[in-house]
Amino acid sequence: MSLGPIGGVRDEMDLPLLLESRALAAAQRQLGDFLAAGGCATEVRFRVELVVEEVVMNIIRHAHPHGATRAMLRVRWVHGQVAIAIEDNGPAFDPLAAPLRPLEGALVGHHEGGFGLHLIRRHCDAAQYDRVGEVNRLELTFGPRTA
Amino acid sequence: MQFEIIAIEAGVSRVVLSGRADAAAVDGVEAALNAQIHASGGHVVLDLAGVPFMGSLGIRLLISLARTVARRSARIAMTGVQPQVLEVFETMALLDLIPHAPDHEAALALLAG
Repeated sequence: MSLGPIGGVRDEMDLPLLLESRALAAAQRQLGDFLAAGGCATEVRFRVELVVEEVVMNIIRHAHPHGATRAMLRVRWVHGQVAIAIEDNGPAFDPLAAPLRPLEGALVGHHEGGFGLHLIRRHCDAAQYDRVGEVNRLELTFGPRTA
Repeated sequence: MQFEIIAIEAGVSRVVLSGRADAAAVDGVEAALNAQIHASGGHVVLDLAGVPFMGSLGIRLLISLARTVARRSARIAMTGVQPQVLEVFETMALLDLIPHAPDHEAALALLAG
């Protein structure tokens, strides 16, 4: 059971994701509408959309070429916080444990990648990764920030 | 996302980006924007007042533009960045590479050094 916004507003949604950036943009619009309907603060909504963008683009760019064929975005309200789960059937990959490239090197060097992992880790309030059978499952929680 | 490049004075172009800078949007403008910045010459003021969202691919695009400008020994600055986008830039240390000015005049002052 999920507990969130006032009754009458949908408090959970599952979105199958096509592994393509335009489809992600469409899913982000649905996600934004869902969060706005639940009264989500603009600041929280921004962080949710930012992290979802990075996680799903990682799947599209790195897991899709190596066998990922499907992904699912699940969002629900839990005690006033936004709980996101993103699943894909690509090779095992834990974005919370992968080594981070130093930002300075990414900015001035020739390898511009690596920003996404920084953004994921810095902009959610809690995160957990599990490999469940053949599926990567990343759970993320976002709540109002007080500081 | 859309962009417009306006020559505002000798040797300075204003590049106005507008719309969400998500992955699909960046893919749609990256080649054309890079080509036009390359052709524009001189210093660049990036006006991001109309960009409410930017992810890592958008940041990569800005870095690419900064490199293009640096290669011709010119300067680049940003102005009008919305607060949440600015927070992302701060956490990613992007402001070390492309300084942010509170308004257009301050951006021109940064370019003048």
